[in-house]
Order: sequence, then structure tokens, then C-alpha cells
Amino acid sequence: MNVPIPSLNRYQGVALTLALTACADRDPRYALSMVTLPPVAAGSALVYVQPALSRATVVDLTQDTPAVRQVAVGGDPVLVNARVAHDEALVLSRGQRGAAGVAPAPASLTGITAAGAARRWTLGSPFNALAQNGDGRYGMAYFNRSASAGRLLFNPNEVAVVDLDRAQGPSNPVIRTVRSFGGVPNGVVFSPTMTVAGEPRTLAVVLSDAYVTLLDLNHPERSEVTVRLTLPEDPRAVAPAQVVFDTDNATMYLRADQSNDLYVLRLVTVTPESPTANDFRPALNQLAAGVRPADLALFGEPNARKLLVVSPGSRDARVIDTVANTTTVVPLDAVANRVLLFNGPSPRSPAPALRALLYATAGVASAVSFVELTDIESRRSQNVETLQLGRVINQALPLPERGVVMFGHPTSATGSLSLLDLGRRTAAPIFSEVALESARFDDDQQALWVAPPSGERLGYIELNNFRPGELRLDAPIVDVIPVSRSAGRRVVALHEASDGWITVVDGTDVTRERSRSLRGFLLTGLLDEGEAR
Amino acid sequence: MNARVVGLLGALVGTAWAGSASAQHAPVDAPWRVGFEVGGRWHRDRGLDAFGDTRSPPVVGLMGARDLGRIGDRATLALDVSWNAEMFHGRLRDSLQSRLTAHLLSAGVTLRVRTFWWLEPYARVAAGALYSDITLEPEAGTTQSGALTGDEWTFAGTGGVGVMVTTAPFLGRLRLAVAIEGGYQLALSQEMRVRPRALSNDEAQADRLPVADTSLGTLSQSGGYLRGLIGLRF
Repeated sequence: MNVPIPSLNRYQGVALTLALTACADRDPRYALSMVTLPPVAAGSALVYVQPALSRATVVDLTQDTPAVRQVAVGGDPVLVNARVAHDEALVLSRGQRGAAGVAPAPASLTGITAAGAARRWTLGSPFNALAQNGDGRYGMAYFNRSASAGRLLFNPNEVAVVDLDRAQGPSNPVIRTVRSFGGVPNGVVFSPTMTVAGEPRTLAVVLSDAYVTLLDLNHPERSEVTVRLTLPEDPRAVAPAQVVFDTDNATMYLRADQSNDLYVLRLVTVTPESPTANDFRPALNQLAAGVRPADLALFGEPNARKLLVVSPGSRDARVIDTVANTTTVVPLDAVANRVLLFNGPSPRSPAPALRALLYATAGVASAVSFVELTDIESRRSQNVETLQLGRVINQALPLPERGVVMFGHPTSATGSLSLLDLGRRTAAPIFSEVALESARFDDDQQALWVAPPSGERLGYIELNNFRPGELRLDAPIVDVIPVSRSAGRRVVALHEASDGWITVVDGTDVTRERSRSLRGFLLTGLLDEGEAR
Repeated sequence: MNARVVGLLGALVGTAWAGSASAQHAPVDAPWRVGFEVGGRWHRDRGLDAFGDTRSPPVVGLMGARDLGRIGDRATLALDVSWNAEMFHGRLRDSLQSRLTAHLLSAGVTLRVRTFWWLEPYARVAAGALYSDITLEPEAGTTQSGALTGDEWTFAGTGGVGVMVTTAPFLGRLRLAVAIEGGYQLALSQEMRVRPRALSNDEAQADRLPVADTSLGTLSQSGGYLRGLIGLRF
């Protein structure tokens, strides 16, 4: 049976087109949230990520007039980090699960430069945490146990190792599942380049409750090495928290929050049994380190390495000779939970030498200890000088390269900050309306910048003469981010505005005349978004 | 439409229809016209979605016209000036109240062809300036301060056809004129830039740090239109 199909004449077509145009739905992109992840500096640029839009906005501060660029990132971005030692930002995205009208998309990592160039690596699983090694060559995406994966099934022991110097390829990233004894990763630490089995390489150390897993990043095809820190029948979660690497002796020292011992992993060369087997194996040893060791540092020549460990539970410091396996206990007048090694003079000796500052944060001590490391084992407490600050220390911001440490104290009549001169061993009180958490050193560590949470004034201290100053801006400041620039220093004050509001301050001439604001940059290209669909 | 108005129009048209055949084609001696318009435009630029749920908000305006002269027996050429405005208003990205007001100031030429003395189909072309004014304001209740504003001028032209109905005179020389017109508006694209709204206090404004403009992109307000006019001829 032939059924006549009605056809539209040109007038009906025009009318229908008009009607359809009139009834077109609103572009849904304009209803999406503009909330951003906390911005980061990538070289001379500031990178904002808007998760709902799967987009990064790059504010390039190279020129006096900032350039704004927009870069697409993977769906559902969950964090943005500055790439270590590179002018690049890394955006970790969990991808899309897929829904009606929305195609599934894998998780990814996007690298964005200050110029707005982007590279992307497909990760597969929706990781929610990212760690980088010390030179920014490698990144490891993993599952942070504190966050939901947002998927029906996921393997919390899966990790993805990305060589950030190489493009996406068959062997980059490397997806692995670390061997588990029932736990999940708590964190990842990367070694500096260390010689193992005669070959320089970088290791990733995955920290779990009672074991650690070593991944050889130079040989990703080789299997991982898992080392238990407790006996199989021991149910304790010792919680490894800190790793110090001896790069010359292929050894690493682990401190665990729930253990009084330090764990020594010496990587011994072996002949691999297969192409995917490792050419080293760990030899585990334990060292007594007082009660609740809280921090450690490695010093000494490669053939005479020593560990300096502070143990607040036993109110002492310990020097452990890793070669002779002997321990020297150094009693302290003030409890300490942090070790800071620095190379500098002392009031009695202008010659720079390796020294240590021992101090305690979290309000448990009001004095700090300077330790002369030369002949410490023979002179013990005679090599310790205690400096009373008169107020407990809440936080510390060390800058040993500049010979200073800034301490934050509870607010009092004598100021809430103090600046400790490591060479002169003096502490200068600084009156401040702001806590130390919001303080930032600028890129070349010439000044310390602070901003009260809801104030309009940006404060700074020049570290070469400790001279403070402040600058009034036009709106309350929510954060301050120093950015590097090839010529001069720049500091960016962030203001609260969903459309984006920053003030760029010249760090070399902190005046209103040299400051410029940029407002509304998160709306750049807003009207063209509909056309792009 | 109000039933009383329909009745009045019907009565007036009926009166006119009842006249002689020759009177049906006699020109109306009412060279001036003023009126009020209401209508809508069908914009195609999806960027307008930033300013609300509809791309076709109501357009309202005023116009005035003067007949210039007759061409032949039935055609009349008229010159008009008009202003109309449309306002888009909505919520943008869960955090801003967005508003766009577009004003069109134009001068046009209309060629009317008398079918009957009371019925005149016409064609109209016009050109003028389109002024767009946008405001992006943080929603009430937030701690954010200050709105962003921006404005821009551009050229716009329209072309359309319509039909006008004129009544018999009342109150002396006054005649009621009703028209409906459809056509297309062609507007050059506008690059919309925004900056913080100036403070009302001049001293405080002068103390502000320099702020760089932000480009929101380009906006095209071309599209079909339909408008109805009601006014008086005299």
C-alpha cells in the first residue's frame, strides 16, 4: 500500500525553522557550576580548574597585561598540582562513568603549560591522588583511601606510573596493581636518583599499613617488591610515614608512626632470574630509636652515614651510626619532633658547617635546640644549645637556604610570629594578624608573604633585612600565590569572586602604582561556548 | 485581545466597508503616525543563553513616521524612526545574575501599497545602531562584591513586510492604525568586554587599582522578528 508522505513547501519550512529556533533549549553549559579547584602556579601562570566544565583557565602573567587561555581537561577533574621543578600544572581527572547521552570516558592526567599547551595521558581507572618525584619526572596516580572512587568496583591497590617527560604510549603510563597484604596505599614516596645494582634509577615507595612496596621506575616491566615490616602473625598497623634515602649506599630508612624502631632497607644486588625479575632484593634491619621517633635526617660522608632522630616520647635525640650500628643518646632540654639540617655559621664559629635545629610544633615546646653535629657522639649534650622563645610553637616555616625559620605562636602581646636567625641564634618577634598557614615564600625566597583570611591588606617580610611591609588592595584576600617570572618577582593575591578576581603585585616594588587587577577571567569566551558545541 | 478592542475595530472596519466602491480606494489623509510596538526576535546565537532561559524575550518600543509622498496612484513612501528594547535576564552558572539589554535605534523607509483605504500591505527597510548593555552580578547572600558591566554599539539593519489596518477617523482627524510585520534583523557581531562596575563615589573610584577588561566573546543578535504595532495616524 502506498502511503502518501506529506512534504513541506518552502513556506512551511521557513515557519517550522522559525518555530524550532524559538523553542530551542538553553545551552546546558550555562547552568553548570563555576566552582574551581584551588588554583596553582605553573611557572609564570596561574591555573584554575573548573570541574563542572572540564576546563582549565590559564592566566599567563608573563606580560604586564595577563593573557587568559582555556584548555580542555579530562572529565571530572579532582585535583590540580604544580609539576615539581617544571613550569607546568598537572590535572588529575576521573573521567566519566557514562549516562544517558554522556559517553563513558577514561580517567586521565593532563599537563598544562603556562602557554596553554596541553598533553594528556590516559590512566584508565578513576584515581583520586597524585604523587610526584623530586625532579618532576614521574607521577604516580593512586587511590587515596579517604575519598570515594565513585565506581561500583575498583581496586584500591592499582596505581599508574606516568613518565611525565614522555608522551602517552604503549608503555606510558604503566598500570600496576601493587601486592597487598590486606591493606591499601596510604601514600607514595619517590627516591631521588640512587645507584642500585650499579645503575642510577628512581624508585617509588608505596606506603601501606604494615608493608611497603618498591617499584623500579626505570624498569617498569619488572615486578614490584613488597616488604613486610611486621611478622605475618603480627596484626599491628605500624603505619610507615617517612622515608629517607641514602643514595650512595642503596639504602632507605623508614620511620613508622606506630613503631619505636626505624626500618632499614638495604637494596642488595642479585642476578635476575628472568627479564621481569629485579636485579636487587631488600635486606631488612631494625634500629631502636627511642620512644615514638617523630623525625629523622641523614648526615655524614657516604662511608660514615649517621642518622639524627628526635623522639619526643623519650625527650632526647639519637645519633645512629649506620655503619657501626651504634646509638648515641643526646638528652634535650626541650622536647623536639622536627629535625632541620642546615649548613651555616654559629655565634662561636663563623665558618659554615653542617648543624641541626631541633624543634617541636603543635604547641608542645617553647624552646628550640641547636646541635653541632661535628663530634656530637663524643660531646653529646655539650654540643646542644637551647634557645628559649618564650612561647610555644604552633607551626614552622623553615628556609635554611636563607638561614631563617619562621615560627607561628599563639596570639600574644609579644607577637604571633617570630623569625629565627639560624646563624646568630636570635629570634625576632613579628606582630601579625595572620596565622602562619597562609604564609608563602616567593619563588626566589626573597620575601615571605601573608594575607589575613578576610583582610584587604597583603603583608610581607623581606628576608634579607627582616623589614616588614604591607599593601592595601581593593578587596579581601583569600589566598596569596607567588609566581615565578623570568624578569622580576610577582605575587598574586586571590579575591573571592566566582568569575575570577586576582591582583598581581610586583614583588620588587610593592606599591599600588605597580599593582594590577584582573577580574572576570573565568568568564573569558563565555559567549562563544555555545557556538563551540 | 480585549473583547472591547475587537468590537471597536470590527465596528470601524464595518463602517469603512459600507462606503462606496470609489471611496474604498481613496487615500487616507493622515501623514503622521506614532505608535507602540511589541514583538519578539528569534535569535540564533547560543551565547545569548548566558542571559536566561529564552533567546526570544519580549521586545517593546516606540515609533514615529511621516509620509514623504505618493508613488503612483496607490503607493506611499514613508520615513520612520523607532526605538525598541529587549531584555534577557537569568541565572548564570549557579552564582551570577546575568542581564543583557539590547536597544535598537533605527531609521527606516516604508513603502505602503493601498489595497483598500483601510488596508495597506507594506515593505520596510531600516538601519541603525544596536546598543547592548550587560551586567553580571553576584547573587544576593554571597560574600562576593561588585558586579561586572560592559556595553557595546554595533550596526544593525532590518527588512520586513507587513500589513497595516487603519480605521475611520474619530475625535477629528485621529485614526487608529494596527500593523503586524515580520522580517529579519541583521546585526554585526559585538565583542562584549566586562569590567567592574564603577563606584558611585568618584574619589573611591579614582583610588581603585587599574583593572584589565575581560572579553566574554562575540555576540550576534541577528535573527527573524515579528512585531505588532498599534498607534495613531493623523
